[in-house]
Amino acid sequence: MKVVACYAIKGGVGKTSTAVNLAYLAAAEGRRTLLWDLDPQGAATYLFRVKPKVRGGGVALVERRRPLEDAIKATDFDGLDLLPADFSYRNMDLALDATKKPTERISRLLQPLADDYDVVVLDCPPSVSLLSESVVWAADVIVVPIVPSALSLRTFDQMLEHLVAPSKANPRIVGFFSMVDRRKRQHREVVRWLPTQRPQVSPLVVPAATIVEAMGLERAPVSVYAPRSAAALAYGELWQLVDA
Amino acid sequence: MTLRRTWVDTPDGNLARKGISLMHVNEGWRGHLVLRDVTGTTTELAGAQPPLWSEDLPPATARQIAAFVGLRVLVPVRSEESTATVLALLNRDSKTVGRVWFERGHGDRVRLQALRGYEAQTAALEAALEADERLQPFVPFEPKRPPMPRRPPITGEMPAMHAVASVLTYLLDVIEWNIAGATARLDTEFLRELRVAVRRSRTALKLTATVLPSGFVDEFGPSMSWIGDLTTPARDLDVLVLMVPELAAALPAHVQGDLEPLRVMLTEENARAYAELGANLQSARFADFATEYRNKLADAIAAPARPPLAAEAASHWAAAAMRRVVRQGSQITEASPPESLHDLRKVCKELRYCLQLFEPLWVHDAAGLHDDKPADDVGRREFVVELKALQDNLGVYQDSDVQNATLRRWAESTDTGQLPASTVLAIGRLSVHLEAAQAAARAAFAERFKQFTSPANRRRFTALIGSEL
Repeated sequence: MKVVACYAIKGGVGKTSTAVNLAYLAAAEGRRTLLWDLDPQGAATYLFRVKPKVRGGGVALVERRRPLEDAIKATDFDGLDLLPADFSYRNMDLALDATKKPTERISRLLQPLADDYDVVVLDCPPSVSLLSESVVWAADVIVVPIVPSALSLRTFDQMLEHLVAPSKANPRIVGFFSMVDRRKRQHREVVRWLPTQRPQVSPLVVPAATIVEAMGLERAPVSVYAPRSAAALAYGELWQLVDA
Repeated sequence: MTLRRTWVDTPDGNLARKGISLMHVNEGWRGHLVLRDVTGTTTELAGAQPPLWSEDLPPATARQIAAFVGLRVLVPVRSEESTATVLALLNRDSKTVGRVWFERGHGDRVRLQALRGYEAQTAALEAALEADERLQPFVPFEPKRPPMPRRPPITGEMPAMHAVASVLTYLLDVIEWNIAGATARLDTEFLRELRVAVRRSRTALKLTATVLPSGFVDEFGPSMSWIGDLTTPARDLDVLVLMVPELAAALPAHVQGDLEPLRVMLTEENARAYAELGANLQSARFADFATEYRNKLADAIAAPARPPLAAEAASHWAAAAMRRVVRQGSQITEASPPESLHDLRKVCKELRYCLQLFEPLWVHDAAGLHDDKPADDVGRREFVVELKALQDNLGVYQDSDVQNATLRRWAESTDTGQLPASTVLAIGRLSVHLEAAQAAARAAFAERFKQFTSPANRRRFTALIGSEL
C-alpha cells in the first residue's frame, strides 16, 4: 500500500485539487484507492458530494474508539473510496497529543487497510502541527504544490527543515508548481529557477485555469469533465512522477 | 458495457471439489475477482486479469486456496459474456449511492449494487426488487468439475478381463487427457499425472497378462514402455528444477546464489526435453498406438465372459506382488548393493498400483450400506500407510542417488565451460547433503521393512485380500 500525502505549509495552493485528481488517476489505473480528507474544511469531501461528517466524530477514529473502515464511503468513481472530513478534525492535534506515539498514529491507523487498498492519498490541512508530523511519518511520498513567488524557496525549505528533517521517516518529496500564470514574469522565473536549487522540485506545472476552479461546480476531478485540458494532462504527468 | 465473467479452477477441478469458486469479472477497462469460499461467503478482490497461479492472487487469498491449488495452473472452466446497462441511484445531493445493473446475455438479470457506506439508502429499492413478482431470484453458477476421465465402475463379480480392460481404457483416457497440458507446459502436474498413468498401465499389463487376450501384452507392452521412457527426461528435470530452491535452502546463505547458473541451465535443458516429448506425443506413432490400443481394449470389454472373476484375480495379483515385496526385501542386508533397494522399490510400486487400480474391490463398506463388505476400512488404510512409509524410505534413497548422479553429470559438463567454478563448488556441497540423506534412508530401511512385514500388518493384508499369502 502506497501512502501519498498532499501537503503544504501554506493554504490555498491547490492541495485538495491535487489530492482529488491524484486519487482519481490512481483508481482509474485499477488501483484500489482511498482518499482521506484530513482537512476540517472538508473541500475534498464536498467535491465528492459526501457529507462532511463521521458518525461518532472523526477524532474517535484517531483515538481508535471506532474502526477506520466503518467511516469509509464509496465515491461515484469505481475503485475510489473516501474517508470524509469531520469538523472535529480541528481538534486533531489535541486528540493526537493525548495518544501514545502520536507521530506514528496515522501510520498505525492505516495498517489494517493494507489488504484493502493499493494507494492511500492524504489531503492534509495547511499547518506545521502534530498531525503534519504524523502524516510525514505515514507517507511514502509527500506531494508539495508550490505557487511561484519570491517566498517559494523559503516556504519549501521551512517545510524540509521543520517537518521532514526532524522525522526519522524518509519520505520522497515531490514538489511541483501549482496555479501557475505564465503571463506573470515572476511565475516564469521561479518555475525556471527553483528546480535548479532544490532537486526535490520538479519543473512540472499545473496552470492556473478556470477548468481547475470548475471542480467545485462539476463536483468531479478535472480528468472526468475535461480530460484533454492542460491541467488534466499535467495531473496525469504528476501521477506518473509520484508513482514512479 | 460488456461484461465477461470467467471462472477458473485447477485442471482437475479441485476448487469445485472443495466447494470454492473463483470468478474473474472483466468490465472492459477494469477487472476484479470474486471468491466464494466453502462457507458461501463471497469476497471481492483486485485483479485486472484472470489469475494463472495462486501466487497471482492477493496474499491472503493465495494462502486461503494454496492447499487446494498446489503446483497446478488455474485454467478457465467457463466464461460468459453479457451486455450491461448501468443506472446510478442518486440521493438528494446527487451523490451516487448505488447502481442498478441490467444485464442481457446468459439470462437477463437485474442486479443492485449498493455503494460502500450507503447500504441503508439502497435497502428500500432492494426490498422492492425482491418483492417484484415479475423477477426471479438469480441462481449463481455452480462450477462443476471440468470433464475428466472417470474411473470405471468395476465390481468383483465381473470377469477379470472386462475389469482389467476397463481400467486400462481409463488409464489411456488419463494419458490422453494430460497430453495437451503437458505439451504446452501449463504446469508440471500434467506430465506427472501422465507418467503415473503410464506406470500404472505398465504394472497392470505385467500383473494381469494371463487374463488379457493372447498376445496383447507382447503387442502393446513395448509401446507403453516407449511412452514411459519418453517422459523420463522432462519429469526428472521438473523434479530437479522444483527442488533447487529447497536444496539451496540447505546451503549457507552466502553460496545459495551460486546455484543460479545451475537453475538456468536445468530450465533450458528442461525446455528442450519438453519440446522433444511434445513432438513424440503428437507423432503418428503415438496416435496409431493409442487408436489400436483403445480398439483392442474395446474388443476385450465386448468379448464373451470367461473366468476368473475380478475379485478372485485381483486378490491373486495383489498376493503375488506382496510375496515379491516380502521375498526381495528379506534378502536385503547391509552389504546389498543399491540396485537391490531400487528393485524393491519397483515391486512396492507394483503392489501399490495393484491396490489403487482395483480400489473399488478393496475399499470396504465404511458406511455399512452393503451386506457383502465388512463395515470397516481401517485395516486397508493402515496397510497402505505402512506400504507408503516403506515406499517413501526407498524413494528418498533412490531419488537422492539419481539427483546426485544428475548433479555430478552437470558439474562434469564444466569441461565445456557451461557452469562457473562457484556453481560447481555449490553442487559439491549439495552432493554431500544428498549423500547424507541417502545414508540416513539406508540406515532407516531395516526398521521400516520390519514394521511393514510385522505380523499385524500381514494380518491386515490377508484380511484385505480374503486369503492367506
